[in-house]
Amino acid sequence: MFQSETLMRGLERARGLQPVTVGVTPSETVATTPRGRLLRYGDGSGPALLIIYSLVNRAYILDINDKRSVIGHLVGAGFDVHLLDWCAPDSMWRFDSLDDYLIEDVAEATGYLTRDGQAPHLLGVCQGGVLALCQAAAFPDTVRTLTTLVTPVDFHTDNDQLAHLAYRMDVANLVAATGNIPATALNALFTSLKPFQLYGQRYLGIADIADNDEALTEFLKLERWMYDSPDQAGAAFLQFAREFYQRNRLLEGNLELGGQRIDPAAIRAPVFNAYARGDHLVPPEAAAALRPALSHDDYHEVALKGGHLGMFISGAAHRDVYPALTDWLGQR
Amino acid sequence: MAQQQHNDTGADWQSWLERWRDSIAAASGVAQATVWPDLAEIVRTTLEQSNDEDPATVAEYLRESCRQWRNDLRDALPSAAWLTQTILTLSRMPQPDAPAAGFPGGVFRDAADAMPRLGPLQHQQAQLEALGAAFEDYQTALAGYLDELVVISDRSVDALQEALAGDTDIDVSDPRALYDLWCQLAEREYERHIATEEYAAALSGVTNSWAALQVALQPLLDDYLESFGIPSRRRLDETQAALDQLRRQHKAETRALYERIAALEARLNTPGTDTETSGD
Repeated sequence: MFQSETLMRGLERARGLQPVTVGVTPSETVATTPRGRLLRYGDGSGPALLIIYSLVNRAYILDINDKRSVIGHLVGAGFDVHLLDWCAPDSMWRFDSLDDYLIEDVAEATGYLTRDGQAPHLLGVCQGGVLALCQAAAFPDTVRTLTTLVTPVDFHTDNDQLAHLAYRMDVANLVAATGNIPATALNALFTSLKPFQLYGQRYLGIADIADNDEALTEFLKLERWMYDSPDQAGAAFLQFAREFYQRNRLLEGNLELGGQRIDPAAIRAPVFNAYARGDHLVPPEAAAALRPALSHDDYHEVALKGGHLGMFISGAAHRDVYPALTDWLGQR
Repeated sequence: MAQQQHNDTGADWQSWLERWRDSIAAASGVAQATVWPDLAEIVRTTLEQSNDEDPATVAEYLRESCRQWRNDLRDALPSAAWLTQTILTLSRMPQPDAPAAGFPGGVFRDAADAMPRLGPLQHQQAQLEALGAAFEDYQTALAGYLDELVVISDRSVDALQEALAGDTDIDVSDPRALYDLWCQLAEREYERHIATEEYAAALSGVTNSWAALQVALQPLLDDYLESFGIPSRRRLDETQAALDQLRRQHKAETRALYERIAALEARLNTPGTDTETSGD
């Protein structure tokens, strides 16, 4: 029987545990790009690996705790891990486009990590995977291998809720009205896909972990991450929504960014593609569409049972995906 | 569940809420409006009845109570009818009979059509007409979107009733079990409905019309601020656009300069190359 006193006790304990710290693997800033900073994890030895995260959330979901840190696993596997940590756009960024993000940030970061002619491994997450894919397609020689995690490639699959809702949006007018897209608006869009679970049931679940400080701390870390989003640079958001979600140009091969034609068939790097079968944000079909878009066969795919966030923080992912990834990377 | 409704200073929040509720009810002209009916009262009454009644009866009571609560809430939300009535009241215009729901379309468009644009303020008149039309469009779209939410709530309540009538394993006296069941069913109905073309059209409609309303409002605000010598968004946008252009121009020139330097270095480092400048 549900006891409101248990919930109240859980809420009080949760309040006492805040603020929570996020990001457990030590890092240092080794370089900056116009819109980000390059963080290095570990001692700098091993093959260079660059992580490109999405623009819409913070990257520390990849390093949420000791037991389930994607970054920690990669460092432990002997890679020289770097993260392109995006800065939060301010109003001066409203004219910054995806072309700028690709040419001035991703390309500069990959160039920085190219050593003695050897390009870095590239790992892209969600929208960051799209940017990584564009880099690999536009500048094939700059990428040693390409890893994409929960990355949409086909934005017009039948079960893509976000694409379905965005298809008729006048995004140009929306950006004209707001400038940069407020983080609160994007958060509201994402949580509106599962409002009953995320606005109500999630918080009643605190009663179930009221006496478990470790579980409460993890709950609070995820809670902080969910609502710790940056605004989106207006022009870049418009481009992503219109060219990818509405026009699906990446898969059609007629996308152009930074003066470069972006065609997945131009990717020469070996590809490791992981997606989640229960992902309501990036349907598995949307991610699996990468395979037929490539023109080579050096492709490895992992379909994880679970949802979008499970790819980063679930036990199954850290058991089934990341060991397979580091083995695969080690052979290349 | 009885609720404490006093803050630390001992103020009577319930009385404050009732006064606020009554003021909105008076402004909306909706008889017997209860802005925020006590849903907890519905649940409490249901729990009291659950001790004696079979699940099907409890489910029916819950269904009817939720339906009444939903209808009251829909009528009393600060929605199109309330907003229209409030604006008309404030403007001391003759008050047409406000409909129970839905926006009396054409209020601003009709007024605009009746007045030619004359005199030195024609531009401002056009801006106000555009704002009025955008406002009407937004209210219409908002009402359409609220209709979709009502569809979802209808189906969710039906699903709850069906589940409670069929599944005798659920302990309806346990609020948590009942709430979890409600969330599960409502989420399912919600996901089904947001996948429809009707919902997507309604969501796009309200989003697009909101953006259009902002775009129509912004020039008026900018003119107003600039008349007081206060920085406006228009001027800030112009400054940002100019800075952005300068940044790109500077970057292009820097890139060209580095390429030139690299070319010259290559010439210098090539054995046997004539290093005299060509004067260019």
